[in-house]
Amino acid sequence: MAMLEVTDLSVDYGHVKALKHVSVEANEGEIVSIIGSNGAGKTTLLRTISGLKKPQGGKVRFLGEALPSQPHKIVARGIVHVPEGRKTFSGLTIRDNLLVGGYLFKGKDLENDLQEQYCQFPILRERQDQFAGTLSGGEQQMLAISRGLMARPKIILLDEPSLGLAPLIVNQVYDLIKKIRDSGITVLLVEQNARKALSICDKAYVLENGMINISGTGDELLHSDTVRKAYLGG
Amino acid sequence: MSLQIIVNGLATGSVYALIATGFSLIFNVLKFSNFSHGALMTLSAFSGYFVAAQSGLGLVPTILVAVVTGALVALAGEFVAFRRITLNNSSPVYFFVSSITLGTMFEGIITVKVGANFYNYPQFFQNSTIKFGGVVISTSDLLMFFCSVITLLILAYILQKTRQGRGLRSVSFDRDTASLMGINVTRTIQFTFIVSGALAGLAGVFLGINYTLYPTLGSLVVKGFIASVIGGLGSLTGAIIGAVLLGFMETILISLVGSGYTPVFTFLLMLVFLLVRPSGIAGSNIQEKA
Repeated sequence: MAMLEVTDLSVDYGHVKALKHVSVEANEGEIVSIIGSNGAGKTTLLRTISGLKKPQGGKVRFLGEALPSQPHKIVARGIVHVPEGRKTFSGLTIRDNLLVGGYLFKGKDLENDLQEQYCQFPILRERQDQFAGTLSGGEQQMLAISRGLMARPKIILLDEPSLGLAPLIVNQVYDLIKKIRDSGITVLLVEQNARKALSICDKAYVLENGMINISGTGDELLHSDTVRKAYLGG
Repeated sequence: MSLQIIVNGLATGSVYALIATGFSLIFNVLKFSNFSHGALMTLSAFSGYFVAAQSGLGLVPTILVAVVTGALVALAGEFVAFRRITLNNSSPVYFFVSSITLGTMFEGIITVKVGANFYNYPQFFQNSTIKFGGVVISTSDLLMFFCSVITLLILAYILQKTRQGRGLRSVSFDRDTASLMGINVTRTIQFTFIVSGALAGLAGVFLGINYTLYPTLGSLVVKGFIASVIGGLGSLTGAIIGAVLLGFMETILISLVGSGYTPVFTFLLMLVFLLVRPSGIAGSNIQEKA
């Protein structure tokens, strides 16, 4: 049984159908990528899994159970969504951003988690008392992911973590994603940067106009003609 | 500037600070100006009067009754007037209409109960003034000043250092993202209303002691509004700075031009700020990066 099972999911924004009968699965310990162009419905899929958007049909099951409807209860189950565009709290200090990430934990647990993140991201420790808004784009992405890890995810949903970052920084982010997987956290990765996403994932789906068109292992999709023409530039 | 003016300015400013922070808290979290805040102050002040002060219970019970009433009524008001609008992410216009309606209703209830009469809190202190060197301080001013300072310090501590406070600040930045961190946004908004209502209750009693109790006492909320515009809407520190400045300015103006012209100048000041520096003194200078 898969860890995360999305079955037959349909989501509308008014009259616009954003997702049409989408089914996706992620097994424990995998990196699963969802690639597709702008407006394909990738973000909607993540927002629906994390409870920010209500589906019109279909269901999401996690570890064999249906999910509660409110986002804050879904986080408590172990599904943590790092939203597109980082969305760090710009007027809170870096330290407070991380502590908010660990909102569900208290006392010593929280402090230990914080120190662990500081070890992994020394820059965050150095600048812990500065406002998050003063960080560069790459650093903010690191902060957003680190803040997500503070919530102790079993599965982490990453929405376009490479968006707007320099190639060198993109590589750092992808190294980090591999590290997260190696630490035992399942990763559901949504990306426009198809080549990058396909090269590290165990399994991938191509989302087009709200429907899953193709799926397979990362390698299969990297070498599939359709995917190459449409998403990898020939 | 004489010492007397400084003392009076600080006392007035500290009450304005209570009003302004209560007002700013809601603005911070829901991004709308809560026009029912003034009427809530009046309602709480009157409940303090009828439940405690009238039966001779003294100052502390009066304040307690007012604070609790303020908190509970604010909580109920949030549920009735703002909850659905919040959940639907509706336009701020609905919040304005809803808060004005709520405020008008509070005022209506008070008027029905007390008529258009003026009420006075009983004399809470045996000595109404204290002489301190060459300065005469009214006991109620002194009390207001210390109560306000302590309350604001506690509030600052809660907001900056506690889990609940961090939750409130993150909800005020981005509700959706805050909920992705496991924060119960509805509870946090309720908490904000409780705190804001409690501040309104405290400010209401102080205004009632300073002036008299009457159904439109709440129109003094305008002072809190001016203070938060001067300080920078949404910034709590700004609101406090603005309130103290306003308190000083009023005290000085009253001694210079008399109380008749003072409001003219304070409104002028607000207009100047809106024109020259609409973001206020503390105006946020943090730029969002892509």
